Amino acid sequence: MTKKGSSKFTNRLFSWAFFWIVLLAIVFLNIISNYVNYRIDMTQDGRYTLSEDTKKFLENPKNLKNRLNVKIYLDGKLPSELRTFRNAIEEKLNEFREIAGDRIEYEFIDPNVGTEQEQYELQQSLVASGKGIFQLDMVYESEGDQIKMEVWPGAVFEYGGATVGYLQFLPGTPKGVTYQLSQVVESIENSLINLEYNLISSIRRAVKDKKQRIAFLQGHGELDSDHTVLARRSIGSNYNVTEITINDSIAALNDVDGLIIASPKTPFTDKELYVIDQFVMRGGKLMCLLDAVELNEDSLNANGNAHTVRLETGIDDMLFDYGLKLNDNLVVDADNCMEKVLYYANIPSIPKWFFYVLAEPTLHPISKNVERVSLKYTSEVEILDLPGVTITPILTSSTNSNVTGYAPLVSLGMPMNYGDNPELVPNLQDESNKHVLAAIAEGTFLSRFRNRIIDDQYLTAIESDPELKRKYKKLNSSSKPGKIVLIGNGRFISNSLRVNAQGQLFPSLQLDEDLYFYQGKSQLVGNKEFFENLVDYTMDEGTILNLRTRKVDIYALDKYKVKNEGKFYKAINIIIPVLLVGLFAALMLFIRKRKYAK
Amino acid sequence: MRALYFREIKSFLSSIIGYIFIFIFLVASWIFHWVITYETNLLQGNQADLIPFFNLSPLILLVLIPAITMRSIAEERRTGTIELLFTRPISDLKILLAKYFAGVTLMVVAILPTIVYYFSMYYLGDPVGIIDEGATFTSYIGLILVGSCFVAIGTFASSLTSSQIVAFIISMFLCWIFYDGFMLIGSYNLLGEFDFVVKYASLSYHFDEIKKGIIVTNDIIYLISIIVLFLTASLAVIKTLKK
Repeated sequence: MTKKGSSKFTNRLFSWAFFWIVLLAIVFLNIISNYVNYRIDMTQDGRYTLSEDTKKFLENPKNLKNRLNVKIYLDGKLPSELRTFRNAIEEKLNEFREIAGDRIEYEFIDPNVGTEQEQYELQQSLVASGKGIFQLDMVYESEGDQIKMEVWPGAVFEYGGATVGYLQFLPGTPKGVTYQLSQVVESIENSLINLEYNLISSIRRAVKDKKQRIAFLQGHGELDSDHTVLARRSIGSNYNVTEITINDSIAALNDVDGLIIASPKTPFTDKELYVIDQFVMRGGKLMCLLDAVELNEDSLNANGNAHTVRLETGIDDMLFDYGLKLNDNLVVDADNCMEKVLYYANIPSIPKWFFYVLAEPTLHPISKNVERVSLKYTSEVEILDLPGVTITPILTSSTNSNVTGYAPLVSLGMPMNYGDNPELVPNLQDESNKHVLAAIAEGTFLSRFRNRIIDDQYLTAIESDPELKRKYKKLNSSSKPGKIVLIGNGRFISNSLRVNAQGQLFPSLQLDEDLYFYQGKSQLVGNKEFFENLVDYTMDEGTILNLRTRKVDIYALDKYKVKNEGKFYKAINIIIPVLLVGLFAALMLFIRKRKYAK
Repeated sequence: MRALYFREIKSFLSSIIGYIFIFIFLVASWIFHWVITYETNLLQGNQADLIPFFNLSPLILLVLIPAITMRSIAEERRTGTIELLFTRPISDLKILLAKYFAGVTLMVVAILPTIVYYFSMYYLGDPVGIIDEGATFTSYIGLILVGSCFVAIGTFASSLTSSQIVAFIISMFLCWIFYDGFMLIGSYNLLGEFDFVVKYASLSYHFDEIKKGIIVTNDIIYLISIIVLFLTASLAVIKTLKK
């Protein structure tokens, strides 16, 4: 009896001991598993996997010659949302390290340790007189207490022994403003989506030896520096952006990699065209944002109609030789257009102002995944067939669009002629109704001046001096493949100007008033992103572009089908499951009966 | 063990209990996802995915699974048939696993007909077939794993007592604590640094990751850990019951 009792006792003891061992093993295993982090991405768009371009960049040892050190100032006592965010950053950097090895190092630093003096000095160095990381003040509730904390949600990149860049993960708070944790959570989610892009583009920037130089051409009434503040700022971190006037100098564009001509008004001289042409022949990247006709919108608003005037700059003639033709007309679009608000008159706004075109993206990487681009009074671009040049449309109008005659008269009354459901063309589904609004030409071009002699004393002088002739050798065709972009609208990147308290004009970072109000209705236009993509693609920074345009797929429902066939789907989703179970039950019953019948 | 497993399955499917479970699960899902105007409605969600289904189903299972598992050991304890089982030449572990897998099978049988939802969303997508198959597949795996955790918890609760009602209430509470409770406790900054650990202990924290369409080792290991843990605990309780 005692023997049996003791064996029962040991049996129980054993089973509970076994339980505790299993428990410990499980805890241990779970802790270990957090360091393993092996993951399989099963999503169709692979949104949780590093993109091929990131991998390629990190694999190439040439890209990371020195050791890159990333210091992230997000550590210490954090609420769990921020801790998750911190872990996500660490995870991403670990994934980078799996490819790049020890060339990337990172450390998480708690900025709130040390004496007050040390903390102050560290924070001053982080702010780096406004160039560095902005602090985020936030409060959160814990056990009924409001806890206030200062977060420095950013990273410092050190390369080759020097601080080379900063990255802000979450927006900082303005002075004196404190965010609730719930407000911060939203920006955490946004930041998580763009984490890979933000990290890799900061790294690329940090390790880059030399930035490419992009110039905005001046001297022909182009958009001036005040109107390009927004555009210059949006590409400024990746390129050296300057302004340039050709000033009769044949070498003006020699150290420029990309040239932007935005909305010129006055004619170019042959010599200037020659300089630009030779720039293209050397493989320079040319981006032309041209208005074919000029329209005075104030006089249109005041008089109800206005004439357009052709702008004869000569630059469009040259583009013709490269395969891109700009027509002197205006595109009208009844599907993709904006409202025209008449601010001062008692006239009601025009809900569909056909001339305010919202250009549709095509499948080209520049515009793919970008919101529609606002092009006001835009002209049609025609694509010509040239050997050696590939020309792709990057923006088009909708299938319900048309073009006006050459240099048309624009009248505010025009939309009224078309009624509530305007149809500008018959057959609204026809894809061929679309008009090209922007296109890119890639390949080797023939010089406009290959068979032409320019009457210019300097050029003649060069021709006669063998030394100079060798130095400024005339190229008759592209020595390197180049890229030329033509957009039939010159002002789509221009920002508006505001008046400050002293009555002075200053550049605002808004595109313009109409877009501002338009955006107020929570419909965004993609002008800024389109311009950034355009520059990146044209300047051969294609890899970085793919990453930015990589968006999470939208799995949309077909609303038409939902409306029409919703009832059907509602029905089958109960009938079929119940039938299936019924069948299953019948099968079970059948098996049982047969078993007993035997 | 196989004979025992089939005996358990039969006890579900030849009686009304199993069918009530399946039927209620399907009808409740249908009402939430296709009929009423609520955020769980798949037709009104404008998204060709089953995310609302995977969000809600654990909550339905949380109520229903304790109802099917409450009987498994508690009833045997009450009627004394557990003694008969012990006398059989079959190990306690096998008895337990037979009961456990019968519960899992019933749950899978209830979930499988909802594949029709997937096909509906497949054809309703714009364009047809835009639904993310990979993410849906992993979500189904995740849902079955979460359901399996509930069955393990329910089996454990059932072994604790000879009253089915008590087993039901305990198991529902435990399922809720493990699914959602820890997540909630970890969300209010009550424990400071420790919050993260508490959240990590909740099933929904791991299921959320799986729902995104990524299989991460630690999520899978955690879910399986819960199953193993509760089954081991039930085994220990059963061994203690042996006279």
